[in-house]
Amino acid sequence: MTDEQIVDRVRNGETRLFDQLVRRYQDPVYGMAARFTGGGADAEDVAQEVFLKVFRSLAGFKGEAKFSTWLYRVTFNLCADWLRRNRKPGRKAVAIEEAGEVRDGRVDLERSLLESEERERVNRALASLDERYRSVIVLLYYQKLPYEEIAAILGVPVKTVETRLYRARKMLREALGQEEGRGER
Amino acid sequence: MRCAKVGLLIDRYVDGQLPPDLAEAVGAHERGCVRCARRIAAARRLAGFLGAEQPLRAPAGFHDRVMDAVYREALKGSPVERQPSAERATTAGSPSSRLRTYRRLGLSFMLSAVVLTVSLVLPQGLYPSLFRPESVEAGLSRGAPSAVKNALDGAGRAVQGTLYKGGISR
Repeated sequence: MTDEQIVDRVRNGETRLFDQLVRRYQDPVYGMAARFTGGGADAEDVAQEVFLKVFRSLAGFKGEAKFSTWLYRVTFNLCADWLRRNRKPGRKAVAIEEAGEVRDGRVDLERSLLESEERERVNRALASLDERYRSVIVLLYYQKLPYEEIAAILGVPVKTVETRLYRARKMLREALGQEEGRGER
Repeated sequence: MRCAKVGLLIDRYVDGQLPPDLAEAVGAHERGCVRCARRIAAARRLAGFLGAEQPLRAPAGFHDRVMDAVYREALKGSPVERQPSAERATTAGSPSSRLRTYRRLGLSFMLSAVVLTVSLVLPQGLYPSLFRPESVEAGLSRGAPSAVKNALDGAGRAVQGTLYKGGISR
C-alpha cells in the first residue's frame, strides 16, 4: 500500500493504519531530529511531535507533494523551531550525543567509528552550522535525498540548495581546519 | 583553469556532477597544483565522512510510544475537526457527538441563568431605593422624559389588550 493510500484510509477513520506510516518513517524522522537536536530525549520528543502533527494535519494534506516530502518538511520545521527555542546566547553548537544512546544500543563497531576524533570533529562542525546550511547537509548526506526533493522540503529553488551546499561544505572545511587558503595561481 | 574557478567546482567535481570536459580540466589542474590537490583531497575526505555516516535508528519502543500518543489524540481530540467536511456528516449523529451537543446546551443554559440572575438581583441589591414602586412613580411625575412615559403607557395598553382578547377581564 502506498503512503498516499494509507493517508486516505487514516483520514476515513482507520487510525490504526497510521502505524504503518510510523514504522516506515520513524528512522529517517528520528535521524533528522537527532542531527538537529543532538539526539537523546530531545530528538525523540521532536520526532514524536512530528508524527502527532502529521496525524492532526492529515485532513490538510492535499497530495500536491509526496507524503514523504511533506513529512520531511514538517520534520524540518519542527527541528528549526527546536533550534530557535534552544539556542542560547554564546552556545553555537549542539553536539551529537554518544553513539550508543542515539543508535539504540548498536554500540560495537559503529560506536568505535563514531568515537574517532575526526568524526567527532565533523559532528561538532556540523552542529555549529546555521540551520539553513545544516539542513541541506543533513538532507543530502544523511537522508540521501536528491536535490529536487531537498528543494521541495525547504521550499526553495534547486539553485538555492546548490548554493547552500557549497557554503555549508566550505564552512565545514573551515571549521575542520581543512581550508588550504585561497591563493591564486 | 585558474585556482579560483577550480575552487568553485570542487564539490561538483568530487560528487561526479561535472560534465566530462570540465571534469577533465579540473583533473588536469589537480595534477599540476599541489594546493588545489590538497583542497580536493579535503573535499573528498569530508564527503566521505558525511556520506559514509550510517542512518540513525529510532530507539526501541519509539513506535509504540508514538502510536499511544496518536490514539490518545484520536480519543481526546475532536476527530470531526480532522476529517473532511463530507465525513463530518457521517459522524455528526454519533453518540459521542450527541453527548457533546447536550453538554454544550447544558452549559449554555447554566451560563444564561447565571447572567440573568446577576443582572436582575445585583442592581436591586446595590440600589434598593431605585426599585421601590413609589420611587419609580415619583421619578416619572418629576419630569422623566415623555418618551419613557409614552413607552410605559403603550406597554400597559398592550398588556391590557392581550388580556381582553384572551377573555380575561380585570
